[in-house]
This record gives sequence, C-alpha cells and structure tokens, in this order.
Amino acid sequence: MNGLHGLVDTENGQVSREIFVAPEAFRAELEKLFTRAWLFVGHESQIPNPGDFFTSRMGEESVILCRDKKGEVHVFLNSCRQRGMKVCRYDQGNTTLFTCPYHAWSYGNDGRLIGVPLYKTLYEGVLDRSQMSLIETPRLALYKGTVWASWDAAAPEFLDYLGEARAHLDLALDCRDGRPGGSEVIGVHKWIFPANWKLAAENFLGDTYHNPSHRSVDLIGIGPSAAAGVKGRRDDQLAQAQHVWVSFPPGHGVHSAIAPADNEYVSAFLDQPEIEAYFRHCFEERKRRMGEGARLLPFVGTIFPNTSFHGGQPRGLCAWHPHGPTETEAWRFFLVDADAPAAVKNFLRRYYMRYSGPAGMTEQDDMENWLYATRASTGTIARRHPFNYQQSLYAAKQDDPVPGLVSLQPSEHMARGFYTAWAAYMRGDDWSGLMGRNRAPASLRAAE
Amino acid sequence: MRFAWLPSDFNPMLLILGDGPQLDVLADGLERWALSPAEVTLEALVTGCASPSGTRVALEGVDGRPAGLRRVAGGFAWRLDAATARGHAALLRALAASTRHSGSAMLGPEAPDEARGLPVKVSRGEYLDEVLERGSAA
Repeated sequence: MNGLHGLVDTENGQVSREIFVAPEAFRAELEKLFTRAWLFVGHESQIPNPGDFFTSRMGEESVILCRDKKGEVHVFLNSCRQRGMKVCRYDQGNTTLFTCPYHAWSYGNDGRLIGVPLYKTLYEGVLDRSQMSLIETPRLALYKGTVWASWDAAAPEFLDYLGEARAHLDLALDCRDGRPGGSEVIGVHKWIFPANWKLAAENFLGDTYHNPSHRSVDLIGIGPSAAAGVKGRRDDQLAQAQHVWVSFPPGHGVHSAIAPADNEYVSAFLDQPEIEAYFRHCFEERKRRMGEGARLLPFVGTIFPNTSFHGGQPRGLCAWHPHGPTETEAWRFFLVDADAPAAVKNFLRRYYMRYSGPAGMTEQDDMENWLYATRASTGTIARRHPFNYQQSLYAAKQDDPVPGLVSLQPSEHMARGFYTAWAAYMRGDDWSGLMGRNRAPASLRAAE
Repeated sequence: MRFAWLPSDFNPMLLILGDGPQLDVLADGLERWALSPAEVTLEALVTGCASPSGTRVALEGVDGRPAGLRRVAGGFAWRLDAATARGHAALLRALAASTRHSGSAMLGPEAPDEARGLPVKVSRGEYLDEVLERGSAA
C-alpha cells in the first residue's frame, strides 16, 4: 500500500479506516514511526537499585530497561546477538548478568558481552566481543522519573519533542503539592484487547465527546466519594474550571483545565477524611509554591504516538503497544507521590483499579468502543467510508489562553493534529517536518 | 584464580575463573582438604586466589547441616563432605586438561536448590575477567 499519508485528510476532517485495520499500514507504522518517535519505556522507581531491570516494549519489540552497576540507566533490545533469543524472559527483577537461555551468551547489565561458552576453543581470534553488546537505543531521556527512548539517533532532544505539552504532562508527574517530579509507580496492569492502538491513543487526546458511553458507570458512581453518594467516575474537581483542549505540532494533544482566579479547593475524597486532608494540604501547598501556575489543572493527554496519561483522578501513564493491526497490548503504570502516606497510596491503588485497567469499569466502556469500532471497520464496505473528524473544525485558536492550538469547547483538532503527525511519519519526513515546524495547523488554515 | 558472587533473582552463582594450572591448584586444594575437612577460606586454600568483589567463601564440613554453598553472615559457607570434594576435584582436573582451552563445570546445582544449595560455576577461557568486578560481597 503506497502513499499511506494520502489516507489522512485533516484539512477536511477525514481519516480512512484502512489505517486502523490494514496490515500494510501496521507494518509501515512499525518501520517508519515506532523506530523514530520518542517512546515511554518505564519509570525509574521500577529500577531503583543497580542491577534492577524491567522488561518493556518499544513498538512490537521487547526491550530491557535496566540500571547498571554504576547506576546508569540503559534500554536494550531484548535479543541475543547470536540467534536472537530473548536474553531476559522475566518481567522485572535484579541481576548481574543476562544469560541467553539458548547458547548461554552472557551480557552485563551495561549490555556488554562478557561471557561466551567455550570462547577460547571456538571463537578466539574471530569473535570481537566488544562489537557484540546488546543493541542499545541511541537516545534515552530521563524526565521526572519517567524513561523515554528512541531508536533514531537524529531525534530531537526529548524536551524539544515534548514542547509545550510538557506543562500538561507535568501535571501527572509532579507531586500533588507542586514539587517537581517525585512520583513512583505503585503497580502496572498489562492486558491485550482486540483494537487498533490508535483508537486508544486518540481517545486520550481529549475525546470528551464520548462521555455518553460511560453513562452506566456515571449512574453507579465509582469515584473516590462514591460511598458518600457522589455519582460519576471521579469527583468533579474541575467543576468551576475552564476546560481547554490543546494540540501540539509533534502530534501530542491534551485536555486540561484552568481554575478560576480564586482557585479554591474543590472538596473530594469525601468518604475518607485522612485522604481528603492530604489532598487539601497538597492543593494549598501547590498554590503557595506555584502561584498562578497552579491554576492549570490536569485531566488527560497523549504524548505522540502511544503514551497517554491521566493527571488527577486517576493518575498514571499508559503505553498502547501495537500487537497487530487489530490488536493492542495496554500497559498502565499507576502513579502516586513516592512520599505519600501508605493509607493514601492504598486508597488510590484501589480507586485506580476500579477506574482503569482490564477490570476498571471506565476502561471497559472505552475498550468496548474501540474493539467494536475496529471490528466494524474491517469489512469491504466499511473500509470505503472514512472516519469523520470534523468536530469543532474551525474552533481552535493559537496560544489562547495557553500555549498550543487551543479550543474552549470539545474538539477533534487534537486528533487532526495527531493524524497530521502520523502522516508525516508515513511520508518519511525529516525531523523538521515531524516536529511540525513551518506547518500551519489545519484548523487555522481553514479558518483563514 | 579469582572468584565473585554474582547476584541475580534468577541465575545467581559463585563464579570462579582460572586457567588450567590454576584449576589444577584448586583441585589439589580440595583433595588436600578432603583428607582433613576443617573451615578454611578459598584464599587460604589456594595461594593467590582473590575476589575482586570482596566475596568471602569458607569451606566447611557438613556436620549434619545442609550441604552445598549457603549464605551465612558476612559471606558464604561452602559445605562439603570428603567424597563431594574429591568429586569436584575430578571435574576440575578434567577442565584443567592441557587439551582444553575453555569450558566450565558446575560444582553443585545449576540453579538455587533448597537441598543442594547455591550454584558454583568454575570456568576457563569463557568470561572476561571484568565480570567478577560486577559481583558483590554477599
């Protein structure tokens, strides 16, 4: 399938279903997108000690995130240089050596090949061990505990890649009291669902329009204050805030909110006075530390291509790993303040599981949408009719009231931005093109 | 001859590296020790033997305790009976043969084993020496 980028028409708000179901599109994504974009790999709290490792993924490939004896963080392809066997078949742990189960080549946790059975008999003078280290990502970035990597040595600095979306991602990564960073992963959920990965990624760009599909959960009430009779998926901490839907040129998109000028605490966690007291304290402390900046409040977002985040209730990161054109493996990393009281962590852990993950009631609603949308788009007739992305086509403005292309009403301009970036990867653009430099947002062009 | 404890959640081992003559010296030491089993460190058993990672290993008689390599305060106890020590020496002699340039032998289980203790691997011509610097004392 040539010209995949031609299947995306963000000027008119149309995207072909082929890119969600066609094997050719999936293969092109693996080769042209997941080998270049910055991808979320894990969190430093998962590998606090030398020798710690967490087996992660980049695209469809297994990678090892590990901390070597000197404390440096690495990301390696989980594949022996001899015959390709996974050198690590465990999810996480601590080790001095990664010994391949096939022929027992052994690698240090800095990736160096340091053990070869019968080396002097079979390989001496032939095998240059220094050239047979585990394959390491040329680019690695540590940001507020999170670990990101790219296979493209020419990729821009990670913070440049994040751009103005950084302020919104920070809302998920920073301590609730405004201290930068300080989060830890309290658990990871992994599961597989039969849908294309992009449906999940775009959902968290800020698809507010799909709220009706959560009707049953909202009627039941699963939020932190549910036992106090509060309905909904969460406490409505954004009730008084101005919601903003923001798109960024590299393809990121967020839905955040701006609190009113007085920025008063909105009561939450009504069932649990101890939890309520903690978050009220954090809110006031954050206001004191950040001043006006504390008015920016979190909801959701997606860092292009496949890392979504929840910033508040719940709070965490999710990597949508591509398995196949119609199958995705989701990994949810649940975040808490590392120094929060144990009672707070435990409360949040239970709430996160109630909301997200394979047993999470909200996530189940979402997955039902994604999998039926995928399944109903595989047919010959269905594939003749593109998806519609015209919502709020002319509603966005540049840098008002926050940096980025901003809409003050529910909008699909973040999805249009996402697929504009997707098309740039499919064209094989250089990094200037992938970063959207010199690209006027489609919504602005249309409004002119 | 050098050695170190290489910790791992999955494949931990005491790794002992040496060339042929050094492995012969270790075999000599084990055979001598089998004649009169008493507590002795590896460094004392084999002249010139050292651990870059500060791993401390002492040979001990079994004396009714669980046999094999065991963690103890400050390091490891390698509990052997005389017959097992002689068996290990025989494996070392074979590995040390001048016709061999490389290879390894497990002196104990391949993986941690409640009954047989922790793995002890002796290897020649297979690992870079630096592997031992990655080890830990205990």
